[in-house]
Amino acid sequence: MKGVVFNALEEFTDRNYGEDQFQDIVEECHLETKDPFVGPGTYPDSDLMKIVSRLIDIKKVKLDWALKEFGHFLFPKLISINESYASESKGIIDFLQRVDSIIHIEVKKLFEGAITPTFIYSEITETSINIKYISNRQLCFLMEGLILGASEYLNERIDYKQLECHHEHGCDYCLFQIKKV
Amino acid sequence: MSVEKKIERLNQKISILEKMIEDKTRENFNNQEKLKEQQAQIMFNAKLASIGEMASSIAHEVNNPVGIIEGQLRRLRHHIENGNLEKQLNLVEKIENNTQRVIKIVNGLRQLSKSTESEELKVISLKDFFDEFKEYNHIKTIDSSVEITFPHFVDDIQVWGKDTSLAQIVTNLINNSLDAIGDDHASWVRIIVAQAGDFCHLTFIDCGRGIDKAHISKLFDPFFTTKSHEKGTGVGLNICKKLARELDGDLNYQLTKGNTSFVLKLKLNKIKGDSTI
Repeated sequence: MKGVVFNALEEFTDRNYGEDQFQDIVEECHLETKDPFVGPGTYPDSDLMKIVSRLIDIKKVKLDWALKEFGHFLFPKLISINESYASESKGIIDFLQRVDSIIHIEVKKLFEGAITPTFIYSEITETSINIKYISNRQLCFLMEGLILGASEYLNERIDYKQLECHHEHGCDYCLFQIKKV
Repeated sequence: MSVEKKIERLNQKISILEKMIEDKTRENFNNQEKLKEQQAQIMFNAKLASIGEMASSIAHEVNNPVGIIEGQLRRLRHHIENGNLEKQLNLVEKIENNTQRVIKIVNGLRQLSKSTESEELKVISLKDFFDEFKEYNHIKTIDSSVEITFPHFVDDIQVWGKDTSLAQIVTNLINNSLDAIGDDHASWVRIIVAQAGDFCHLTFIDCGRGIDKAHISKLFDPFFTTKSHEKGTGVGLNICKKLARELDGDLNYQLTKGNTSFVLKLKLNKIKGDSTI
């Protein structure tokens, strides 16, 4: 996982759970990474999961809720790297379609070693879309938060649900249905 | 966390970022070096390809006078045997003329094989250049039905350039037109010359109806081509633009009255008698 995500998690943690909370957790977790996280760096996914797991343990919150909240917080941080991806889109449905075909490709160019999920789109209309999310990381709850963050950023209200979820149904993907309201 | 510890962490982050920038800079430098090597190789390959094209047309050109010389030698032997001195001398003169023609053609090939880098910028008479070009650089025009109109010079125009580069650019632009418009009696290519300020504009117009808008921005990119693999590698226009810039000029695409055209801008020599720099 790229350092930019760890840095956002540090900001999210310190803002919501108190200053230095992130660093305290990092010190407790015996991570593989010994140096401080920097944006362009690439770090083990397991380090991120250790930090998140410890955080939810301490704060007694659910993993899906924490990841969703973090995704919501993360979206504006990520889009600030190149806001034209959002500003050039014709709304949330158009933007979501650009994620796999443009944004993920550009992310890989910009951040060496970045691994992005695969999105497969279906049932596309002007007001709705289905997205099959495929990723070994299985961070569909983080994706929920990112989708919410995107809809808020683009000032368009949406309803979404997971028609199928790896965590519930054991499939190797999660299927999102997103509708504008 | 104490302020000192925070500062220490920030310093650590700065060091890591500095190391990353250093590594990236080194990597970029190495990539640039590799790119330069690859570009040099591309230029070299393009030159080989041009020489190949020229060699094939020269073989065709040389074959004609050599064939004539062979016939004239047979007739000369016959006249020597018969002791007809006047006819002997007449045939010797014809053989000399045809031999000179072969020499000139071979010199044309030598000219192309010269490195453009080692060649100095000099004043070139466009009239002389095109006269020679028409004579020795037929390339694909030999068997073409396409009507090619070269510029007509009432007064000579002198530009700064290198013979080899200029020949390579002109050959490439004409060949590109021929490849694009097809070999047809109704097809044409015109080269028009005009002076604009400190520059001379050589406009290569053909009967094509312009280049697809989607392709225009990529025209001068290396390896961009709409031709089949047999016809093009996509390096020609890229190299021509570089060569034109080496001559302090430029090469650009434009639509002229709805027709495809390329404008080769060359620096005019306005001072008479100044022939090298």
